[in-house]
Amino acid sequence: MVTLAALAALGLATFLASRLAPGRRELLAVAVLAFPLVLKLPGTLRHEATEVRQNRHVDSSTAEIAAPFLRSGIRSPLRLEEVRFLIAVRRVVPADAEIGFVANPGQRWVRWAAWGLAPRLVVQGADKRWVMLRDQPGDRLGRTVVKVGRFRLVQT
Amino acid sequence: MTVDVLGLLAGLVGLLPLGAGILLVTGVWRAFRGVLRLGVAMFTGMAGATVLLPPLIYAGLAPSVPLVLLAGLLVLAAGVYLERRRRREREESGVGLELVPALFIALPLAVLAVRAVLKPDGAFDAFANWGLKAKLLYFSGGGLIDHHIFDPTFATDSLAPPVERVYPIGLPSLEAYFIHTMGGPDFRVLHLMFVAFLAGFALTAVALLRPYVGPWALAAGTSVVLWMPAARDQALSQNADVPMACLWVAAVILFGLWLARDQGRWLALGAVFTAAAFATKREGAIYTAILMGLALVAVLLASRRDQLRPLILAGGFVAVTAVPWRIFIAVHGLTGHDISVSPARISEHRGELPMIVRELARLLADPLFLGVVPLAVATALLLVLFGHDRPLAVGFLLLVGAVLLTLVVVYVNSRPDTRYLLRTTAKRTLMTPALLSAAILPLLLTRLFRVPVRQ
Repeated sequence: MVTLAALAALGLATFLASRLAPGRRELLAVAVLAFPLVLKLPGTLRHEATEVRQNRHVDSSTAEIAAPFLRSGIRSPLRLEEVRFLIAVRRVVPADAEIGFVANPGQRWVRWAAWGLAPRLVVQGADKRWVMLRDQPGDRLGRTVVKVGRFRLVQT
Repeated sequence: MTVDVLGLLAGLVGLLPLGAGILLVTGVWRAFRGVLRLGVAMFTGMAGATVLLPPLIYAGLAPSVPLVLLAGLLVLAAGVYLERRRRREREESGVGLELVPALFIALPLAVLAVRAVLKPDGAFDAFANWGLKAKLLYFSGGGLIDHHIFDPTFATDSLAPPVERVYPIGLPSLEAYFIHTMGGPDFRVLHLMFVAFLAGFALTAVALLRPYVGPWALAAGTSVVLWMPAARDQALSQNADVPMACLWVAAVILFGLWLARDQGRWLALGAVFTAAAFATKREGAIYTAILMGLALVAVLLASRRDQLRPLILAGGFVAVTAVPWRIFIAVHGLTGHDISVSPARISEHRGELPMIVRELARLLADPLFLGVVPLAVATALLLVLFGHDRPLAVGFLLLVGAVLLTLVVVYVNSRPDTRYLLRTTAKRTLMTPALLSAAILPLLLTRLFRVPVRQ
């Protein structure tokens, strides 16, 4: 619709161009450029205002690992658990440490966790000094240092 | 957050010596004045840092603030020396920023900046690739690099290493520099760096096109670029597509100015922007080849053999800047996960060609792009038809056609499911033809309607 309207405006402006004084032809160029913009601008502003309203409530302390899931419109308890857990892990585990985790590396959450925890190295397996667990008891591995919902950090 | 925003703005100021130095070295400094000169210098500084930092990182130097400032001051000193030695036949008045374009640039950027600092980082590639590399570079220290990003343990042992180690590191190194100026990784405020790319691009387009386009048409054209929903959304996705598109389209305009005015300084600055686009994404290499190839054809068709040597020198400069990256991926035996061009794959996927073309065409007509590509192509075709400025129109059509053809070839050679790759990436890979069309459209319309341009 916007594209068709813009092309129609171009056709009309081309027809009118030779009938206008040269000094006024810049207005035709402005009209062709502004037409699709004017049609789409209200929707753009509405979309951006909604996004700003949703994101305004994101806690600034999570800025480094702020995730899209934190937006109020799609906030879920599980996602908040993940964020709170990562923040806690970052407080406890030194920056140069390796953290063991048993997970499928293709998972989006693992990628996000590796980014949020970097420069700590998240590695496959449970044979490290620090181990992250999900839906698993950690007693047999060592002392649970952090527990948030279904996640726990164990110090072996 | 306020401290981080101030840190990022300080980082932009810190790039001014490098940008101003490049403008002085290339001889473009006096072509602009006032705010416009500062804006172009900032954007040139961003381009310069994107070219300069990766080889220094490969040499073991972290992308720290002192390094960028020192490099900037060295280039600035060289530029001042060269500028003093140049003899000028007449003083250049320089293009300045008029009030109308200034307002039309400031408003959409201000709205976007508010959205930017609140937006959490959400795009997969942004955190799994670009952001992760930037963090590793930042945490590698402020002096000699601790080789986190190149460390084989991080590449092989990590459960989630950066997804595309084969990509050039121009963008992550620039992000790491800004994280240094902010004092820590705040990926929400870092969105402002991408807003700065759009701002620098808009100011540079105004500076370069103003002698050929009236202020009102230029203001409308700039508004199309800055209010384009796809450009705004993709800039805040923290992916490399918008920065690469901004850098490459700036290079295209500079190459065009060189061909039109026959002044080597535009080609020299264009080579810097081309090298920066090359250092940002792998597509940058193909787009560089397209730009250089078309410039060569234009020079040969115009029988301007005196322009061959500067063009070869510019191509040589761009190629040399890419050597450290090519050595790095050769030494580490890296290959791309998503795209690998081969005749066998093209033959195997050729049945998907109609679907790829249909999907790209559908997206180009999407209101998110404001219809700029079809509009610019139609304008260029009318120019060819009426014979008003055929070289400009044909040059644009060849460029945009070559870029779209490149995208079709890329998608035909995708390793993952083509529909999946198209669905997840096409909106951002189309940023290059979209920004190219939006930037050139005011000039095409000015020529089509034969608008007289007052300075």
